[in-house]
Amino acid sequence: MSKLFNATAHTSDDPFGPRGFPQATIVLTPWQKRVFLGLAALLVLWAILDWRSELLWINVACTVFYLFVTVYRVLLIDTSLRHGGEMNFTEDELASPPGDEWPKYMVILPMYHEGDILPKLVESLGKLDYPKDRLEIRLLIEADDEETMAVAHSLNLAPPFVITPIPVSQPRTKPKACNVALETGDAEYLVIYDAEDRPELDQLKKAAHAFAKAGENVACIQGKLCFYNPDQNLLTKCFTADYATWFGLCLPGLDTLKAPIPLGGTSNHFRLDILRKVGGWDEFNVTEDCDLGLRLFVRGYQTRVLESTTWEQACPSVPFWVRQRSRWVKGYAQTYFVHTRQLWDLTKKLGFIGSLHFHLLIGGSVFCQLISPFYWILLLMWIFVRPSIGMAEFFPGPVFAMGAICLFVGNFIFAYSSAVALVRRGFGHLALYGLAMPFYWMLMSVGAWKGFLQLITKPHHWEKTKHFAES
Amino acid sequence: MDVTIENEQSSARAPWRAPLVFLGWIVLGAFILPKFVIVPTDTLSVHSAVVDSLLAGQNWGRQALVGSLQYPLLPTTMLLLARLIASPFGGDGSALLVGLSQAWVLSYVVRLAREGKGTLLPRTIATVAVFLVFPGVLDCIRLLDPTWAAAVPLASALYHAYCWHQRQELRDALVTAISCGLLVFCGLAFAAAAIAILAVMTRHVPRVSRVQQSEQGGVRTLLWAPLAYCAFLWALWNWLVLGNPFFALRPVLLSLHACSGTQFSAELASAFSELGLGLVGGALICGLSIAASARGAGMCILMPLLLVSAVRLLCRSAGVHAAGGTLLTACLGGLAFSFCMQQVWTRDPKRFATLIAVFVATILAGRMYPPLDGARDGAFRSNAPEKTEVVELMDRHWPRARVLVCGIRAPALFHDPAEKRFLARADFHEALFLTQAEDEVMHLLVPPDNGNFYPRSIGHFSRLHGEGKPWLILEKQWSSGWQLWRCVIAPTGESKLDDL
Repeated sequence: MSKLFNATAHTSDDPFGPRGFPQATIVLTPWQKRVFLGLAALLVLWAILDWRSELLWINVACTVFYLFVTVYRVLLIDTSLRHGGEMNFTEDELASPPGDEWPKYMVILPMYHEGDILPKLVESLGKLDYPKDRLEIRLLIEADDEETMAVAHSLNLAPPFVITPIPVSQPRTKPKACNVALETGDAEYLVIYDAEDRPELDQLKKAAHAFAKAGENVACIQGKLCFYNPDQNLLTKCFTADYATWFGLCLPGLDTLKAPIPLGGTSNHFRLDILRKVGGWDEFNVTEDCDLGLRLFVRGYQTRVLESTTWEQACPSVPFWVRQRSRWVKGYAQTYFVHTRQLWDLTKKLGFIGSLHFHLLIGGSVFCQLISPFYWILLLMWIFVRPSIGMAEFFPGPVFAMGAICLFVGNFIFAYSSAVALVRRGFGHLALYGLAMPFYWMLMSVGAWKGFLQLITKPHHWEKTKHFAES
Repeated sequence: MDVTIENEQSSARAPWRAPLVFLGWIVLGAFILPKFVIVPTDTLSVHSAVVDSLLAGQNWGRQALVGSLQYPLLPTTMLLLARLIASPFGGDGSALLVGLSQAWVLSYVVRLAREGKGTLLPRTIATVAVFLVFPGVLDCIRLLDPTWAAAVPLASALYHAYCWHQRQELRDALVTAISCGLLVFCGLAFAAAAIAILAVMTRHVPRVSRVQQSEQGGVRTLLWAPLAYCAFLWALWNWLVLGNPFFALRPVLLSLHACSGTQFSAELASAFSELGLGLVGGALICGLSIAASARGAGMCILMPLLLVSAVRLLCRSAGVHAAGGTLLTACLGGLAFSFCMQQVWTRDPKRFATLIAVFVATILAGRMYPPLDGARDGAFRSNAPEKTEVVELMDRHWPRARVLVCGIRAPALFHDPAEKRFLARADFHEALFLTQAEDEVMHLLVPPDNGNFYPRSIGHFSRLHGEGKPWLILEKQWSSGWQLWRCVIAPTGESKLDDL
């Protein structure tokens, strides 16, 4: 197959963007490093001179930030509940193609050591309700992954399934494999699924209609993700609540507000020509989906949310879940630093409101997860130890009031919105677990700190999501 | 795609409509309505004292903020906020709060009117008019009572409960649930209203909610979670600030415990006639039978009215002030009639005429009963010695001594943010008082045992008033029953006054 696009070779000498756009080859640019070192020096100096006032002002900044995030989240959720920006289609609409015929669709499935679940995957995708002659399903298997390759060959796959071996080269990441698939093929649209995904059978048809209805500037349609094993244990219940909130409340809110949407890793439907135009995925970024969503927005393209679900497997094991979460947080931090390399340009392109969305969604979510443990410790001390000093000094009246709003109102709103999202998603029986989310947030912070430390020690290490075979 | 288009249209309208409505609300609430709010209440004086105390950083302020169901948290917090907003402009925070709250409540009545069919303007005018003319509403509008802040979540809960019945949108159920949660912070009567609204909604979940039967449990969880959480918060704050999670409930329980059967029935009879429960309830049932098509939503008003009336009767019989009871009854009654008016407007001339007849009968019957008097609701100040009088007495005989005043109402009467003359505490702790008395000459001001300041004939205040203590000398007793006691434990240190 001849290459239509080069997404794997370096085309630029820029070490921060070897393929012509800012990439996460290095975490921080020299000026970003200088800023961080300067800040650290300033904090040390301030601590030496007057550590009490330093702690007070850090606390003030964090509290104001928390309050802002709380208000922002409430706005998102209320917008979603009021308007719900998802695109939806009836069965009648899906009965016929949006144009003369159904557009050509390419489905890509990057996989690595997924031999266990490959037969199920093939069975599931084989049922997709889309004309087979307009469909190509590419299984992207690493060339040295003999286990998966053997299973794939043993299945005697016929079109639309195609096995695409991914040459062994660095970096060995999912986006690198996706970029290989991007280089060939003449489909109009492309969608990426994970190995354990079970998309709703009419999702491709819905996405095709959505692209046809949406403006030309809509480059991506994000399907909703949900779990098929929510009841497996407490972790999967909370994880389901987390996903339901993000895909059921936050993304539709962002869609309505026309804000940048950090893509969700799977069930991203693209216009293939635009995807190639923006350079495909950043193979150095461990949340390449989030980065791509922002890159599309910065280039003036829009992402919409589709009312169609892809069912995934919720990670039922705490250690594996923490690994997955650590990669997400590390990737969000990478993305944040990549996009703020040219902060002024970014602000001009995104505008004030767009920039606010970017900082709160990407940088803010990481920062929140990192600082939360300190406040939980403070809270426990306040309740159980009642220290005679500190409270009045570090939480003067207005700060105490803001902190109390975040603690008592903000946390409840976040937990309650999880319960709301569960009910909206059809998991009403789990609503009570939505209210237990604060315990899950603690686990999120563990993952966040692991990811943050890895950002320093192993920035490009890919903590692969473990997919468990179903019993 | 129709839904999407409709959503886009509604969001396209919103950019100019929302700020306009907000501006109108601000103008009405901040500038117009405060001109009519002229009757100060005793309730305001307590809330104001708590706010002053909070701003001064006094512990009593924190104790009173969370430790009283009679002067509940939400109105006090809103008053504090209004004060902070109004003070830079030299405005009156309480008038601003009351004005904005009233405007907000009226906006819900207007929104209720917009939900019906027929010509908009006359329907809106008629709906607002029946709300205002309902016995007690206009009187309450003239009251400078921070409890008006509690009427906002009440109106919000009722309006969105109505919308939920009409449109089955989950958002309406959520707003109702959150509003009901906030009502927990508005005192016993409002909390009872919240429980009644949620109970009606819970019963209607299978009929109204769009979700499948297996998901209905989730909707019920969503309905009750805010209320349960707010109740938990109140208990938590009571524990953190006062060391007892049920401190706020204690006076109510003590009063109920102390209330004898004969006393209860005597008070009940007078309270019943005063509240006109039968009048209002009967009228409402008539109204609801007229609006049979919206019985579910109507029950959301009727049930709270009945339960609130029952709670008020119980409280009055036990001698407990139910915060904003009159205001709540008037608002609920007014809203009920607005609801009925909105339901029958232009639908059926016979039903419309029946409603008008019931309405006129209610107005006329209302005149036969003692009016709903919001100003008298929670009044306690009469016959209390003036603060200046006590200060003069102290200056004359014990110029370096201080007076301990306990409870919520009494410290509000003798409010002293600098704690120069009067020390305020929500509760009386004998050991702490004696420790304090070792340092300085301490007095204790004990209010009369009439149920206005503490539960009648029960508890340590009542015992103090009746028997005193071996280490207390009665220095003065006013004819109204107020007592000034002096602690006779010899002070071992110098007066704290020197440090002030």
